[in-house]
Amino acid sequence: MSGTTSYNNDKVVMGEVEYPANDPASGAFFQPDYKKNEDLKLMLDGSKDSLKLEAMKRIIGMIAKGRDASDLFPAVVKNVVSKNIEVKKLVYVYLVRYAEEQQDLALLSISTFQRALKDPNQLIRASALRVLSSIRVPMIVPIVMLAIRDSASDMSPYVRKTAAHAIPKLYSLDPEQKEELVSIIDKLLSDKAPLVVGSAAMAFSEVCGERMSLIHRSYRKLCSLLADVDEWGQLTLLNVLTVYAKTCFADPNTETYSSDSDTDKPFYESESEGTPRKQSSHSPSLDADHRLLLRAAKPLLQSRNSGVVMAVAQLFYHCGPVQELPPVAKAMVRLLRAPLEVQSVVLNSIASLTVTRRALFEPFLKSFFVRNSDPTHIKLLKLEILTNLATESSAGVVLREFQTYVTSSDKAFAGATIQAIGRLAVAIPTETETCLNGLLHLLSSKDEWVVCEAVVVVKRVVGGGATSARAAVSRAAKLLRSDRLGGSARAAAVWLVAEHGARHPRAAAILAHMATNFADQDELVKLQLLSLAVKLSVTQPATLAMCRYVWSLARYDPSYDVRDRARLLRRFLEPKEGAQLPAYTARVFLPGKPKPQVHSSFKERGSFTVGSLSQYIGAAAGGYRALPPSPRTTQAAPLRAAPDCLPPDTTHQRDQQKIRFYSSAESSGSGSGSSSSEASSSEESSEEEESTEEKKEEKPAKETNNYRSSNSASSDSESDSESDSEADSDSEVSADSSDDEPSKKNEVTRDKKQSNSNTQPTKEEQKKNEKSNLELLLELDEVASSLPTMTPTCGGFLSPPSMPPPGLGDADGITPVSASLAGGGGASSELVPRVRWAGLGARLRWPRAPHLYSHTMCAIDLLLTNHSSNDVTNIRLHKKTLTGSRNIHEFTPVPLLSPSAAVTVTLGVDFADTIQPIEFTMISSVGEVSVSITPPVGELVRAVTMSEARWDAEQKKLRGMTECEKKAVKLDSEQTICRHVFETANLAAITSTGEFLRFAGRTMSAQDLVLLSVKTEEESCRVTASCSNMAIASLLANEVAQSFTKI
Amino acid sequence: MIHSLFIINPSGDVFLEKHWRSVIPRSVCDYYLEAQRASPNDVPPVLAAPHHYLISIQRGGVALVAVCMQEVAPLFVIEFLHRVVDTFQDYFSDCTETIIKENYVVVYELLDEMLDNGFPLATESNILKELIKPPNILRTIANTVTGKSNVSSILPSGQLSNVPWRRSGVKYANNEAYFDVVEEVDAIIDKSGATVSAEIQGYIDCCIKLSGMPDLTLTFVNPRLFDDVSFHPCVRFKRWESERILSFIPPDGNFRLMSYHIGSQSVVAIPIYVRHNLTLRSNGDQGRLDLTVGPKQTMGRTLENVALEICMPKCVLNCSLTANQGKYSYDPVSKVLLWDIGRIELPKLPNIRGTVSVASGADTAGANPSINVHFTIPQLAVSGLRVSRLDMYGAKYKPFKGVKYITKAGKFHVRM
Repeated sequence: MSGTTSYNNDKVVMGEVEYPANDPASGAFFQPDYKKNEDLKLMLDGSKDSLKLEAMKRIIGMIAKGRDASDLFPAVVKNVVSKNIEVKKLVYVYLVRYAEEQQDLALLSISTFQRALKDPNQLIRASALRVLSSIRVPMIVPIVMLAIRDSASDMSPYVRKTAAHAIPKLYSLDPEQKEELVSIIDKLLSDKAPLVVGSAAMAFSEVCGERMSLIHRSYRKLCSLLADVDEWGQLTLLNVLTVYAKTCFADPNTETYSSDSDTDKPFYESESEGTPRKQSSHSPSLDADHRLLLRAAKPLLQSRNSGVVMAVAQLFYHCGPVQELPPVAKAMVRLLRAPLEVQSVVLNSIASLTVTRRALFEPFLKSFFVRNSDPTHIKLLKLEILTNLATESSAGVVLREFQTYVTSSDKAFAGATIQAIGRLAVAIPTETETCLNGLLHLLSSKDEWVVCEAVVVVKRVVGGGATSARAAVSRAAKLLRSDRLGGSARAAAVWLVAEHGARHPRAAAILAHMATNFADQDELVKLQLLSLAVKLSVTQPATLAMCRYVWSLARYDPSYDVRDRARLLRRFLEPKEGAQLPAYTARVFLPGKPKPQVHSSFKERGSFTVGSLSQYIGAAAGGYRALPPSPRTTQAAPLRAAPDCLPPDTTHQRDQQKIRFYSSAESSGSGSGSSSSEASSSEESSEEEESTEEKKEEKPAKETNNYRSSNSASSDSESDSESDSEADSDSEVSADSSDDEPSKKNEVTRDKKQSNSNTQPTKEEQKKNEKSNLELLLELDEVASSLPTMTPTCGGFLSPPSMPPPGLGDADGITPVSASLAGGGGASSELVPRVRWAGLGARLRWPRAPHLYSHTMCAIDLLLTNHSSNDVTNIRLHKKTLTGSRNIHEFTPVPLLSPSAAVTVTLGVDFADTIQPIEFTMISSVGEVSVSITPPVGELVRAVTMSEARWDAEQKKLRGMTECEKKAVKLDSEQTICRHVFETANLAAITSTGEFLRFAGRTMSAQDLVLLSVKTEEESCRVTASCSNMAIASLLANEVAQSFTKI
Repeated sequence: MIHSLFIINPSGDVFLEKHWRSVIPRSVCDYYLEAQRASPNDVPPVLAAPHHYLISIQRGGVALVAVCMQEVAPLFVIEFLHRVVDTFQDYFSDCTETIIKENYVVVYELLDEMLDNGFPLATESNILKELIKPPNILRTIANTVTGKSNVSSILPSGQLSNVPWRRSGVKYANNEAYFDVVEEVDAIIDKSGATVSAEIQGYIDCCIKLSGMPDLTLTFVNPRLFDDVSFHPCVRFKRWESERILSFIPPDGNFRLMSYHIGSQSVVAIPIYVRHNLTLRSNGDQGRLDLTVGPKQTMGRTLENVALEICMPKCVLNCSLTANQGKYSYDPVSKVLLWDIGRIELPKLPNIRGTVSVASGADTAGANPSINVHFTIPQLAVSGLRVSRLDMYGAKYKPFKGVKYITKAGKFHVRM
């Protein structure tokens, strides 16, 4: 296949480049960059599907190899409309991969998906939603939201499933949509199709795993569907239900609980039969709902999927009564035959279970025996389990096994076995002697490594004075004499002698022997020798001389630890005037010590949920949520009753159908039973019913019956041809959509009503605003600042006042206000340096006042200063280069500017809401100069004020593409934030306190609303700007965010 | 859930990557490669990197490494990865580096279909095969001529039905149903020949080629043998619980119907014995090895494909042996002695004996090699399991039925 060759060509490129490729197409890889992938582009631009497919296959090959194919984006994205389904699919794959990097171009494809969402083919609808939701471009959030909401009530369960999948995607893209998504999850959780429920559970645990209240309503239904959900769904659902059970049901193990004789009873028994027995045989302490879950979960222990088995084990371990655990243990042991990776995880869980529940796995002791062929980490896990499982009765068997393991050629394993023997010796008092004997036997092994390990373990076991300490000591003494031990083992041996053999006559001989080559010992050994010397001098005063000798050796030791220790210990024995220490020597050095405690290293892992990632790695993984403690009493029972309010006949009938599937018609033994095609078609019809049921529920029961009978009739008539049923469901789609319409209309009218009711308060607010306007007028100095243009150069008093045209602001409750920061955009900046204009300088300032000539114009103050020694005359605006609707209102010419005099003139510029620089020339007696003014985006807007609610409402309208969000440095106080915002942009604050600050303005020319919000988060601020003019929004957000970094 | 998947070949190259969520740089695989370099056969399936968790499986010489960012059940991921490999094997008959590279487009399409945003979407082989046709030359040619594609444009009907594992509209000229009852004996035999532990792991693999929607019922003569069972989702659990029969609508093609376990508590017949005698250092640098193999409790069947694999102690340099049956080979690097015996015909017992040369001065005490034994016994289920009958409902034709029994050595281990 040519696809193959391209893949292999890649390899050639990676490896050796000297082969020229035979295939002209693949030659592209060797060409220099500017022509890279040129041929692929050509193939994609062509009209032949086969070429396109070929090109796409090669591109996918590049992606698969992890090579960058992003430069092909424009060429590929065009083909999203391709008729060829395979090309289309590959384009989807490409799009999902690169959309994040090429957001703008990715937007081009959105409309195609929106169209596909309405396609009659459910697969196309579903895949459109899949891809649309996978495109990680924040701008399309509202579109995706809409798509999810629509698809969540789609006719096809497959599309609804896809909708459930899309929810976590959108959530990760924009966590602020959480509330809305949660409502959709709620809806999907109460879906009746098993296909949907598993995915809904997944969405639930990803988005709002803590909100157990959502489960109440559908709990019973979820339990009953558990067996029908696909295995991955079962796994997720079980995890969710485990948390739920832990949250809501009392711990069954706290009270005495009568043994459940029921465990072997078949699960799939029709409810009518099951109920009376259930009540009689169960002790009342277990809630009926709790029992429901355990019953539903138990058959899943027989699943072929080890993950599901583990999830059931998790449920039973954390929420089930102890009596019901043995079958769980059995199933877990079965998993040990699964692939190595599964074994590892299962053994890990068993290892931590055996710490607390040893009895469970005791019968399976032999299943954990180690084979030579196991990898080391499996061996270690099995060893851990064997050690945990050993009891007085089984210790013999285990020890015999350990004996074999000790001689294993796998050093790590052999070492761990010796440690394990040590643990057994401590844990099982009756076996201590045997273990110790074994260990002592190991001490004389020829393998140095084994000996060292054994000495260390013996030291630990002997610890608090076992009876055989003497034997251990003499063995250790022998070893020390033979000089065969490694560093830490030697130190341990010396410690052993010091601890238990201080009264032994041979101890002194050992000290003498060791002291002869004191200097050559390890530091650890030297320290131990010092304490041996001290202890000896206490028990056998005759050895004091030797003790002193050791000290003097230690005194000149290169290691200062050793020197320090020697100095410290000396104080105990050297009698000095008034020294109190020697009196306590014996008590300090030879106290009675408690027996050592040896714990399983898996003990702390028991605190994690069984079978979780955190348990495996022994630390809480990211996103790990510990199970809550069980409540004292079972909670929320009445809440769970909710879904049973269906018309009784509906539930009954459905139940029967369900039962029929699993029991496959009670009479099936005779062979004449329902033919499978019939059975399956009736199931399908039930499927369809379920999806429509929600709508039908509220209709009278009679009608429901009609519907069902007709439906079942139609499905009976069909043989096993699927096309029929397809058509069937299609017709239903149309029928239902027509059904839907009136309800939609209803919704619309309701919406209208709501908006009507909304407008009333805004009117009131408007009144308030007017009042505030009045107040504004009264505050004269502010007004003065808003009308700073009273200079002689101004356009004239008679020009219309700078009020916006009526009806622009007032009608909708948005009123323009003066700039919040009097004096406008801060310091003036140099526009024309004096050197360029023969000594005449011009500075520019943004006064943030409306220009008197037109409200769309931005006023700019120009400060002209004559730095030269001559008079300058007739300064005026000369040529303007204008494009589009931009306009300049000239300032009044300055007739004369005497040396070192200055004058301020006001220029009015309509920038038409762009930050394109405006260019013009100024002329005077000293010559002409060209000037270009680039407006900061903050000056293109004018502050307006409105109510908070209004702001929120407006902001809702400006989501998605018209919204731009930036992260900024966190500022400590609201005032600073406000100051920075006001300095950057001419906006008014709507709310200026709290976490969430709102600002508003309008653009000068188009009067588009500009909304800015600053949200203070834990580590940063989030600046969000929305404006229907996208450029403004993004620029403004950027500028404001940047301004925060300035101090 | 699963963020990304990397497929790595034995030399440590990442040759395929797929991302379901944001793109994770492939350098994250270094953590895996490091662990692999440290001990190639002992990579823990879950590795914790600073910001990611790597969950990996090794099969067919390639390693599949899934990258997760959050808490997830490790078995979920491991099971899924195995399912991916199963699917590849189903599609391409094997799962090796070359095969994946040759079929990368189909592989990519499959991965895209199997996982959505890190959560499994469609993993049933029957559904996948309807969505994406498995590659074969005939179809490729036909597609080039007719302009059709391998990708279906309609939703497989199975997705929506209650039997998602079976595709609809199956038609065969010859209707056949074959069942293989395979039992593997796992045992540890100690030095003296006593059984330390023995278990039977059995499974029933099916190859079902039946038209329409057949409903099958499989009954056993002695179903009480099973200690523990696990089923394909198609099996109706309730009927198993109440009547101990397997009732199911089978998927089309090959699948594993059930697997069962006969635990260490029950008595398991051990069909083979090995008499062994290994003395290292009997005279100088020479040791002696003497092995005899014979049948035991085989219920009259013959042992076939018998092979012994001995992992010798490190100190053994070479072996010079003579076998009265079969061939032997010794690899001085891995220290593995392989003796391929074949069929054991009574009364002659296969025997191998000779000298082993031991490195001078090496410590030979305490070295305890072990023998891995392989064998198969056709036409016998060692547990005594028997299928009594297979009935079919829901279809008019008469299928051809067949049941085959076979016993194999699983992890059969003799300590020396």
